[in-house]
Amino acid sequence: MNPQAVAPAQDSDSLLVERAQAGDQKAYGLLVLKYQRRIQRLIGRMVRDVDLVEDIAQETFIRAYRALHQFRGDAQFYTWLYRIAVNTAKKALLELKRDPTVSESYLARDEEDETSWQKNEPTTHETPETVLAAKEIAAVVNAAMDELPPELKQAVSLREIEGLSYDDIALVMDCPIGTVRSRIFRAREAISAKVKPLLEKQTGKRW
Amino acid sequence: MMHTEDDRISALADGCLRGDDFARTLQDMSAQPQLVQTWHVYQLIGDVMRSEGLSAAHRDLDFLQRFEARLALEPALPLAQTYVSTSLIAGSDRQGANAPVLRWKWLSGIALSALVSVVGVSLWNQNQQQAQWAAANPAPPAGVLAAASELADTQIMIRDPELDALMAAHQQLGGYSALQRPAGFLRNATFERSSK
Repeated sequence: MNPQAVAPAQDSDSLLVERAQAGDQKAYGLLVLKYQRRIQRLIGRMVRDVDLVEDIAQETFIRAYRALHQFRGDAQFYTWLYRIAVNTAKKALLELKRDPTVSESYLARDEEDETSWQKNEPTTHETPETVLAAKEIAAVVNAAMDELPPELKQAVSLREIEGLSYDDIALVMDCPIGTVRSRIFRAREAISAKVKPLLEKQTGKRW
Repeated sequence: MMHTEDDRISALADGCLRGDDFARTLQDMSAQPQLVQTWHVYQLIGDVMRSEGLSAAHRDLDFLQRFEARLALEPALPLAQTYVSTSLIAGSDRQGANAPVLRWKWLSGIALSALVSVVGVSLWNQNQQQAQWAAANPAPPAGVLAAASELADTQIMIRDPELDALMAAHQQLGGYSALQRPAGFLRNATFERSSK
């Protein structure tokens, strides 16, 4: 795995954002589901209290929703969301008169590039159970990736890790765009088939 | 080619779903929670591939559930200032009243004709009434007008001598500055020394 990898371009959000701006709360919910892990991890670096991390993340998404009509798409949606999360966390810390777990200098550096986070860095919102659950999922995804046929593995890696568009992947792999779409989907399905039972076990819900 | 729901969700995750497929997929996801779970798992897979630090996912759906309950209490969003693609809005394929449809063309033509005829008739009526009034009220003879003019010229003005004296005194003092008597011919003048 590649923790330093660049996330794919967020053009994929534009249609969902437009839809949410038009008042579709379900579309906004999909964006929340997509980004809440990254937002919680970001806040978790600033706040010690485990429960507070989730509360601030909720507040972040609510504030973003209220300001959604002002989002013009000049920046990527996640960049915009990121700023709201940082400001919300800082405000919460000021209100509660708590000290952030990280220094201001670290925070400033971190704001520049989220991928500067190292996996061995302690994250204060983790518990032994969540660490174990997360490790299990990571292991299952890795194992499923290794079992994929080479063309599926390459297609999904180019998309998810390198952030290439379907057009670019089609050029790289020398195949039609429809084939790219199909390969990425089949790769996701294969990995998903291994991940879903694990999530079912961890959450106690049917997946 | 017919795509399955999961295939369309995969394309949606990559931002490659447009038009009817996009609208239909969102509609399906609103109605079927398991499709939202599929979306979640696809996003999780991508996150884990990029960073193992993002693999904690067991509370994600609870988070969303809490959020949706809170979101439901929010007032409606103000109109977005950004461009919202009309193709994304459900039911946007309905024809507008100003679309080039034959029945609307007919209706607008009839409305315009009715307006023109109403304005024309009212103007014609106005002209007729003016002509009738002129016929019923002939112009006054020239002698009457001349007598009225002479009367105006010979009117007497009654003056109060005390008031005249008071006004003359005020006229004498009025317009004089406390510092300097103003010159009648000079209002503004400046003197500038040559810079050389």
